[in-house]
Amino acid sequence: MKYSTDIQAITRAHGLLKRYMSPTPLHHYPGLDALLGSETYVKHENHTAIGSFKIRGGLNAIANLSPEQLKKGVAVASTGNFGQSVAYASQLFGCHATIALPSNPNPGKAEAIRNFGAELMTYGADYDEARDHLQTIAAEKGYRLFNDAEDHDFVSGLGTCMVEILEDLPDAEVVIVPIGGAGFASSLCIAGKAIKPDLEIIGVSSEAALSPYLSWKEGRLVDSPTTTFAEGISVRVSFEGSQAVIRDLLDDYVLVSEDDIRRAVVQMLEKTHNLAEGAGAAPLAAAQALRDRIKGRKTVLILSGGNLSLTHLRECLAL
Amino acid sequence: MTRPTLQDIYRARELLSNHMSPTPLHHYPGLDAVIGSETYVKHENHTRLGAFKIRGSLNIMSLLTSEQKEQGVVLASSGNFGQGMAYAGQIFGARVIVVLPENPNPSKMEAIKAFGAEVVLSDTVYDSDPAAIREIVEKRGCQYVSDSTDARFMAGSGTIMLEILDQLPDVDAVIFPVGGGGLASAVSIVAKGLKPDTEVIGVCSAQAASPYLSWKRGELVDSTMTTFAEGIGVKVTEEIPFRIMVDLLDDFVAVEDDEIRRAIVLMLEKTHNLSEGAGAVPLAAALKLKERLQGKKVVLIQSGGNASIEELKASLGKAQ
Repeated sequence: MKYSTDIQAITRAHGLLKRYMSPTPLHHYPGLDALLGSETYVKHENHTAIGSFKIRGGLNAIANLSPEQLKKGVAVASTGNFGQSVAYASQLFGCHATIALPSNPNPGKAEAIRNFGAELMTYGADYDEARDHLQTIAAEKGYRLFNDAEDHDFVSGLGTCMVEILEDLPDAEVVIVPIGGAGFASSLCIAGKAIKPDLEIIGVSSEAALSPYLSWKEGRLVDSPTTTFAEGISVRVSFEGSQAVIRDLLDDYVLVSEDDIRRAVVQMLEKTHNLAEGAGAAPLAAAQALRDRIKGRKTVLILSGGNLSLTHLRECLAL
Repeated sequence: MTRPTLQDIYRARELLSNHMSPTPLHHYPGLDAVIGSETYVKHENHTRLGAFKIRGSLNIMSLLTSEQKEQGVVLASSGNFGQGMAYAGQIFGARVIVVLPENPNPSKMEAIKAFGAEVVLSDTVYDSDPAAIREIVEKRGCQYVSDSTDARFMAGSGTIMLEILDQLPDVDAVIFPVGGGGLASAVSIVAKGLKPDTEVIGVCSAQAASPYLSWKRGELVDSTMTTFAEGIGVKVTEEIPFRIMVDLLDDFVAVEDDEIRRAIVLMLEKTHNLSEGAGAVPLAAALKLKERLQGKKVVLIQSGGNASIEELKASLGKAQ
């Protein structure tokens, strides 16, 4: 296998996931057509049980464990959507999940993890310390450790989103996807290009979190500080596995400002009545920058997640 | 017109399956913590039009003859029903005339027109026998359809409860908004027909209390209507849904508009879904019924999400 996943693994995941979640809707919004000049569809990853596309990765990762491993349990160091998706899927399969966080975690996130029935383990000053400690525990207890979002089964699950898009809209022309860690984008590119090679796939990041964009542009891994409010695309470092894929397969990549993203959150609410988190609204912000290029074309915006806090929503509405 | 039977509702599900997927029923631990029940939300806001009325609209259209489609249908609607019929009309190639009140919600009117329906503005839509509609039926030969009295529409709405029973067979209670009463009737017919011990609880705004007062007193009562929640903004209650609700509803709650606004914000915070006023009233009611719902499996029917930015801002402002 050239990359972290391939179309065979993704279609296998697609068959498997059908048992555990419904395909998310792909809705056409005339109100967005009027704004953008394209024939505009939104892929509603915010409609999943955890309000984010990551559920696909978690489900595929847990569904592929051996019965013995399901009995022993899994471990992951993440509070975000990654940890939540593993916790959700583990609960569904009756598998014990340990989620490691640094000491004094954000209470809201800790609560979300506990809500999915996972065991919370707090240790150390930051994620690196928590992760190191978790590694020791996992080795002792025989937990399957999910190190990061580049795990093969996890990434393979993410690409099922593109398979669904092309099933619902076989003549899609452009797909716009938010990029942070790039695991999602890489899996979408592998699926998209394998099924429909002339599909244009365009990435979008925030000007306030440049690592993935610079890494793509310069063809080498570039670190960059992040100050974006859009947690889903807030990364400081990039990973070679995913970057190698988007370097080869992504057709274009645009940057949008924080205020562009905030405005897109409001436009998404206004035109589709869906709450988008920053990452989920970024494709709509990008579509406005790309108006000339997508004019009259069937364009899919991936609304990757809807987990926006009221505080951030108020900031968006105040613009 | 009679009340729809379970058979009508099963048939509607078959017809609808060609045009829409079942909507999700998600469990929200964040709501459990607030209410004390095991709380599920039935996401009618996730349909193509962001509201449950797409179901009844598709069912009506599916059951029209080609001649009836050509002659067309006329209806009065605060928005979602009009949009649903316009959308269904476009799919089935039927003529649709929508009568809206003067000064309608502009984005909803725009959406109705975008689906190729004709819009007529008249404030007589609030009357029990609107003159504007009578005229269109008489002069243009259209069939009048209503979302509170049409058994075909109700049958479409009843598919919501069929899906809920598939998704959560051991549901204890279902809470839904009541405006015209079509949704309430259909959901209750299915719940009581298939799982009679399911508690079915209706909710309306205290600022549009006609259905609540009618149910409480056992006779049709008109009332004033000042609620911002247009999906449940009624002044009068129709005989058919009234009879069904009297027969089947276990309880009926009226909530203040301020409680609805707080529920909109709570829904956003805990489920990250935008609700219109009607879509949030079940949550507002659940907060009032906390003690009774402890530990039970409770489904809140989020009937629609078509709120404007102005309405959202008003709710966020009130909740601060």
